[in-house]
Amino acid sequence: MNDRNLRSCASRFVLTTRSKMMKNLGINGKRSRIFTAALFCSSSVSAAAPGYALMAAARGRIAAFLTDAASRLSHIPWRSIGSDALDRASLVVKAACFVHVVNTYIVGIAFVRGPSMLPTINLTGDVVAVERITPRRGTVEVGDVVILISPENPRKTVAKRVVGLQGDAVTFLVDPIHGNATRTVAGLADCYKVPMGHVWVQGDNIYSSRDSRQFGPVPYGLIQGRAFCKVFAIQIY
Amino acid sequence: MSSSISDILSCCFGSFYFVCLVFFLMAWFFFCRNLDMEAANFLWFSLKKSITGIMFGLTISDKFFTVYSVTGSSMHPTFTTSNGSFPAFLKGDIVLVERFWDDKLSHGDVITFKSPTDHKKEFVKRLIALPGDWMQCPNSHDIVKIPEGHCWVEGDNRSSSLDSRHFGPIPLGLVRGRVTHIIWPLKRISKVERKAVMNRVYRT
Repeated sequence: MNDRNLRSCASRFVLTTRSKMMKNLGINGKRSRIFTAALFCSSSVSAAAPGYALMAAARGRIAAFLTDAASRLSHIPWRSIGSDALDRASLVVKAACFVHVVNTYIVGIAFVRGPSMLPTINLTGDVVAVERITPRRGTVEVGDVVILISPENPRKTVAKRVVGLQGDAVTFLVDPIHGNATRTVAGLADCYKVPMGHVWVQGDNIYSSRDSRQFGPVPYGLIQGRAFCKVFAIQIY
Repeated sequence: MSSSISDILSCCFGSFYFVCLVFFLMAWFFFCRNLDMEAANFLWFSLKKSITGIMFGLTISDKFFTVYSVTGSSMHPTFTTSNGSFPAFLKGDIVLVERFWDDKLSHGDVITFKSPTDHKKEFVKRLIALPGDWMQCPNSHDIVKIPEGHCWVEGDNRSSSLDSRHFGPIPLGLVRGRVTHIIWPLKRISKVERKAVMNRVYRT
């Protein structure tokens, strides 16, 4: 396609689209003639001397756009939008703080799964409610199910039942699968009791539980909460 | 004997806030009926503000950083205790403690942890060995391996310190934070340096 063909194509395109554009823009009368002339002019001139004319047209359009945009932007209520955004953000922060404080100091929810607490807590997982006040006050009792940080892996949290408190003597089956050998606690060789500030925890399912029988008494400070209520059981079967 | 620490931000400011809260609640219950609308609104507004303040402070102190006062002589060259007539929490150094979520610990950090023998106390000691390291026990020639998930802590002042030589390696779950700066006695404002013990710890 040569240059002449291109020009004719362009002018035909302008003519066909002109009526639609004018209709859309609501242009008629004198302004319509000017508009048409401008379109013809811009198309023919841009075809004849593309570089300079195109740049000038673009510059004019950009300037018009910018002035238009400036007048529009100045009408947007930035101040109220900003204060609104600040309000929303502070509300989110407050909510996050509230959730954190309630979860850390009063009551929280934990998802427990695994075979070690089997009759009490399902293999596939239970959601339990955990309260943090009893461990904080130091009044955990024998028989409570507690959530504690595993002494072997600080990133893991496990649920076990408290079997002995400090000063108690605990007797347990060393290896319930292979025999009836029992042992009495024991943390250190020279004392026969659970040491000060420690608790003895065991899973309810003594056949597959990794607990104090393997890693000894755990410090009280690792206890994160006392499970007091099963919220719901997750059943996959 | 051992250098224990107290959480100033939570204790002092927490108790201050608690007192404010109790005061406002009492005022609310006793005087509310006799007050005009404006004063009641003011009380309610202040109550809301103070509760929000408590929650915000507690969250910051639990998640990001907090301020502790160190008393005791077990970390002597690093932290000191003065004998002035200050209130109790101003006697020792006041330090900035950084909380962390994941294991950012390394050898020689000064860390705070809950005492393994009393969960209500918190100690500050220097971290000597991390899990998997082989370490020669001080005052003996045994070489022990630090068990998985545990660490070995010792005070800087060996002669009067209740530390892992007494209660053995402690679980990493007890560690609460890392001391980064000393901020109170104005002339001692400084960063707390990391000093790793090289000669008797064999890292893996």
